Amino acid sequence: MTIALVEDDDETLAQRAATGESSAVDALLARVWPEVRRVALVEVGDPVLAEDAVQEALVRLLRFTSRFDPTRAFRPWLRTLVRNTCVDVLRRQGRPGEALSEASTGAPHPDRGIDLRRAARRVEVALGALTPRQRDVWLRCEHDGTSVAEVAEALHIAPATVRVLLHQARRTLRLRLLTDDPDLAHLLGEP
Amino acid sequence: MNCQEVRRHLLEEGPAAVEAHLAGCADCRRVALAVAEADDAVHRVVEQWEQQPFQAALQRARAAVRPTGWRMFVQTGLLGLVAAAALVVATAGPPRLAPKPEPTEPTAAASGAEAEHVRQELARLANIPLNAFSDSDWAAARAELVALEPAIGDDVALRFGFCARLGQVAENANDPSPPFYLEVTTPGGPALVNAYWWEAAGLALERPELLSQLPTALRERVQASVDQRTGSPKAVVPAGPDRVRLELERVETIPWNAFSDGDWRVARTELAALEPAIGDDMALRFRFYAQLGRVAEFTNDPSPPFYRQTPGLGGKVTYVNVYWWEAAGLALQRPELLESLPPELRERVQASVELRRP
Repeated sequence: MTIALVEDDDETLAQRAATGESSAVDALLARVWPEVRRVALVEVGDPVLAEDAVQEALVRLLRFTSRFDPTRAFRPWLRTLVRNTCVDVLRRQGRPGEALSEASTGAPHPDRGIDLRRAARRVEVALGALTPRQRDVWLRCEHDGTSVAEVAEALHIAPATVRVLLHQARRTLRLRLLTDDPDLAHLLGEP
Repeated sequence: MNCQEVRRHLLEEGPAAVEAHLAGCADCRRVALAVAEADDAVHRVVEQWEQQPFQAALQRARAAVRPTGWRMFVQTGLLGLVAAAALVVATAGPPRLAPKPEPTEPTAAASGAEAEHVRQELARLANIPLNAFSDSDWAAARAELVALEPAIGDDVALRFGFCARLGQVAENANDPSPPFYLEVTTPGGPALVNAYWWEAAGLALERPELLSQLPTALRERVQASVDQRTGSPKAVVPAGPDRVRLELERVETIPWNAFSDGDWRVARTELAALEPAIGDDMALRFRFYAQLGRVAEFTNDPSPPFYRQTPGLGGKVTYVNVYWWEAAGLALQRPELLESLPPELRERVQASVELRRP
């Protein structure tokens, strides 16, 4: 990747990518890669399904970048494209609630020594149990360490709303993971 | 702080808020440990997910869009060869009238089960009226149709039909967002356009004859995109008998195997709707009835009001094509009208004349 490509802003890079300049395409997609993955995870929830959405979004970006109007901002266009891709992936898979039901993880496993893949799958299902807005807030506040005030400003919502969403997200995630263990479920008063 | 409160705080605030209680309660210590483990597990999964390598994903995406299909033909200049081959096949013989044999595609470039599946889906969607689906249903149909795009293959005509139909489905979804609607720069300035009609218009600019293979309403939408791409003023659509003549000229040139049954049904409905515009011109009415009868036959749908039962030769009840029947009535009054029809169509109307002859 050349220094010039690194210094180009998104719109300039998109314009060069639209002309078929493959190094510009690579540079642009590498730059937006983390955002594509984050938007997909927020929208889809289940990382397995989100992986499909990311891959399809990349294909669409390669195919449609030539249609991007460089006089407009690139990131909103990108986010809309990725969100639409996520919606399409979810529709093809059935409704989100169905894809992420408890049935897909099998019966609760009381043994603490369960294999890591199974544990990871339980986490994926728990993430999928959040709403996209709850996931977004949880990822920003809890995972990225962004302050409530900054998240509220970025999402154009009140700080109190961010706190409510964050509490809901934490509670849902923890309950989902803890209540797989009948003893913990009993201690938490959950059926 | 009692146990219930501690456990609620553990769920919402995490272990730090309740350390004082934890020191004396084994159960709550266990919950606290489990909460900390759960938090770590979620962070690990998210971190692992966000660190997936970019290059491998990019290579897979590039493989998916590699121009092996029609794009390769466009880019390598082989499109002309495909078009020429299609033209040779399409002009190898006159259009065949009923009984309709098993279709053999005139543009053989995109044969195979996958392309056939795309054709079937396009035909199925052509039969669904706008108000039969909700917006979200249309959005779901849009997603399903988009997923078929890689199966189109090299057939430019199929690509064109696909883009035109997908553009229609996208419009029905009432959701003008990317990648189905895009801001583009046109000769008339920036505009939000239906991306698939835009692409269909691009193909139509290379092969204008593709437009004639669309039902009227859809053709007019794609034509509007062609005009927008070229900066041409909108074509003035004539009214009255001139509109009927224009439509007949178009329909007459469409071979039976250019449309699916569903598309022919759409064409039948659109053509029948023009009947009040014919006026007093008997020759035009005769030509209209003959062509509408032909279109009705191509639908493979012998149902009223296009077909009806009537006493035939020897007193047997038979089904007749209503519009050929009407054309035959006019031909009985002015036999020279039959001479204005192509030979095969003349034969079909002549057969109805024989049935009607007193």
